[in-house]
Amino acid sequence: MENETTERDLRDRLDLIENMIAEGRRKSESWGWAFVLWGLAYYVAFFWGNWGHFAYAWPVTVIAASLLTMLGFWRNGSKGRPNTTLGRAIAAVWWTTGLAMFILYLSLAFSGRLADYHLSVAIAGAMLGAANAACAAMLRWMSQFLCAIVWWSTCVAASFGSASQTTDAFLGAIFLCQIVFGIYAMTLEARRRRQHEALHA
Amino acid sequence: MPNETTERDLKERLELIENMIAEGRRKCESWGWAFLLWGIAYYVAIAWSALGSAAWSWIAWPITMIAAGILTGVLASRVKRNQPATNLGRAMSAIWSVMGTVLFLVLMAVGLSGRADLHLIVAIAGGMLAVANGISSIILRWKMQFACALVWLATAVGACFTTTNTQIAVLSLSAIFFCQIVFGIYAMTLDARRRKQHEALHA
Repeated sequence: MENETTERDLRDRLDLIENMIAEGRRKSESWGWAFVLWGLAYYVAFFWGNWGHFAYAWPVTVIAASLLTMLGFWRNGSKGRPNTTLGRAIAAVWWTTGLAMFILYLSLAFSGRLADYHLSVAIAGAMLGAANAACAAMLRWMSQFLCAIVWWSTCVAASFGSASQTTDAFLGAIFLCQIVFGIYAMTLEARRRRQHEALHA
Repeated sequence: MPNETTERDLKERLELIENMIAEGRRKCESWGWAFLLWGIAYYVAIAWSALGSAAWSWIAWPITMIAAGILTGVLASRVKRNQPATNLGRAMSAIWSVMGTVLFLVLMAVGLSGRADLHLIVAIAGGMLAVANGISSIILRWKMQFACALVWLATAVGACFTTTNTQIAVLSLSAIFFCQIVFGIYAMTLDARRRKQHEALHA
């Protein structure tokens, strides 16, 4: 009898974990627009900085994208979705990584140590890869893990490749891991909403 | 009536989350030895690369990190055997294993390609350790660990603006002391105190 209860308890606990992972993934899918927004922001900052030769292109674009993300977060938050432990963990991963990258890059730029273009792309690739991999491990999401691999490959390409190879790798990674992955997440969310509406119609 | 149920549901959910956070923090405290181990490993690697011959200076870090990684893996497998898997536990282990692996690989790549100086290496390491500690502290609502994240971030910023190798050495050695050695011992003390209380209660 006691064994049965323990087994049932374990099954309940596993069910709860599975439900929380599924809920976390649904929540991540509803943030697909943020991936697309940041992908576009990276492109704007990259081309503005390289073609427009504007020294503050990156900080200005990143601050603008952060404000837009906060606006979206505020609108999403007002929909009354309950927060989960995994949701808080995922949010912590992105906020902390974003803030640390912003402060690190700003310090490196102002101290004049960010002269090497390869190095700046390598650091970005490593940190974005780590954030994607941590989320993928928590949510058991293979597509996001592929994004992490793409970012890490960019890090390696930036360390050992030429300037043009680094640029190609960086722009390609933004396209695949921000734009394509963001649209993929948005599509999944839209499909789920349609199914939900059809069920409740 | 439905309102009451929803309120009760929400309260139960909040209680569950609070319990999970407390459980996660207890679990993190039981990993205090890992902070200490890595703090000592950093000191060994720094001393080895600084005091050893030129041939050893570039190989000291990879060898020490791999040895510390293997040791952590062996000890972790023993700890894990006695603990049930939780969502927060999985999140924590995902964050630390990913950050550790990436830090190792990126510093190896940057070092082997000859693109980094000491200041940059400390800035990258400080930034990434700040991220890992910051995420963990936000999830577990642990102020002490958040303080460690701030120390690592300050080290990363300081590494960008320091000019001499002595300054960078003092900065990084102090950060390792506070965020690895002191924090590790603090977590181990909390874990030991909790165990003693638990044993006293069940005696």
